Amino acid sequence: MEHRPETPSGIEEKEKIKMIKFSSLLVFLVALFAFAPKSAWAQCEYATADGYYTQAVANFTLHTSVVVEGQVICSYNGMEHTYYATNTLRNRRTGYNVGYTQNEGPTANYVSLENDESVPVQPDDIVDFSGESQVWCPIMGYFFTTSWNWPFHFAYTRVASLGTRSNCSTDPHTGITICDLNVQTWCTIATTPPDMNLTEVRVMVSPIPPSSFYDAYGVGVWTGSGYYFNNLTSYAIGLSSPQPLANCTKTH
Amino acid sequence: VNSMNRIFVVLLVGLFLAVPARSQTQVAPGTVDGSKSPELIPDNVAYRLVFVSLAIPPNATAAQQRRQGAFLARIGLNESDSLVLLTKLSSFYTRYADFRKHENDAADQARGTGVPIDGTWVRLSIQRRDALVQSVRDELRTVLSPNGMNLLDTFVQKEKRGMTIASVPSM
Repeated sequence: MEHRPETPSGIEEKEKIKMIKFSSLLVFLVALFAFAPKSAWAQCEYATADGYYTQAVANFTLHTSVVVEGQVICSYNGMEHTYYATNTLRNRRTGYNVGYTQNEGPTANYVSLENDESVPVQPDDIVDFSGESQVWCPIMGYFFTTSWNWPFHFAYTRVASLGTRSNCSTDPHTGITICDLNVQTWCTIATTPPDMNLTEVRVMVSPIPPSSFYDAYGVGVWTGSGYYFNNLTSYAIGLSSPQPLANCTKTH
Repeated sequence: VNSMNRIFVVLLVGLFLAVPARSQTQVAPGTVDGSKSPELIPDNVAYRLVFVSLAIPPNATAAQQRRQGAFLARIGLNESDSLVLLTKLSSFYTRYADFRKHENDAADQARGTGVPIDGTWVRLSIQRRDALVQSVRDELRTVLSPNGMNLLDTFVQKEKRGMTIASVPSM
């Protein structure tokens, strides 16, 4: 076979093709790395994690907590790797910046993180907390992630007693009797029915007799389909008689 | 050029197999969202999360006590039952801190001695934790009034809406 020396233009052409192939492969590899199939879960062999988000209100203060905890061991091909667990709670309402983040890892295996926040509230306030808990292994990705974003609405309703009681319970040690007292809302026409449309409040009836009127406060959580009041009456304050109709909270 | 192409193909396949999965916010298999399926959150898990959230240290600050009081008010217990629950929660706080320390120390010790920290090891740890929570529930059943226990259970069931739990399929 006759060997023909390549011309300079022929060599250039080959170099160009090589370069194009190199560049194409490089782009392809980068794209592959970025969009490779995600299969993180199957690799994190031994872990459990649980998250919990809750709230309560008392004395015009809203308390919120976010918990993440569980046994976390990030293992890949039999080797343990560093993990990070984060737990975040933010008050997204303008003017508040009280949220903070906790981190744990990598030496402790049993993670238990809790963030608590308390903010003052007034009737009709909406407090927009968001919470997020994550457990992340650098090699394997997120094992656990959950987030909450529920605006809380602080509701207020004035009620008038109808006199009848049910579900009474007497503490054998203190002698205090608590009952569900049947009530009707006592709100202006414009605010009837109120957000918290109560038919009963749980109050002390003995030894201190029940009042004829109460101001009741509760927390509603926006779920996307409307407020629900998951703890119907957080607390009710007895009032003297008589009382005028009140401007109760009414948002829908 | 051909041999170079072959090397690239091998490299490519190797890279595809070797690249660890990339992190991405997603829900792990086996995750239960209590806001959608509260009935799938086991009672023992729900009680544990509530206990962890409600329990405060013996030297708790006034703010921690106020916060705890707000949550206890939601349960609706009478004064006697509230005191009983407070005592049990205080005991739980200490016992749970001890449990965590024990598990973490045991893991460190296992690493030091070459004992594999595998599925069995983790399962036993989880069993110890669940037994601790169950024992506190059993104790509460004997010291709270029947009405108090019902109120606590109603509260815990409602709270499942705010819970998310996950364990890997191999657990």
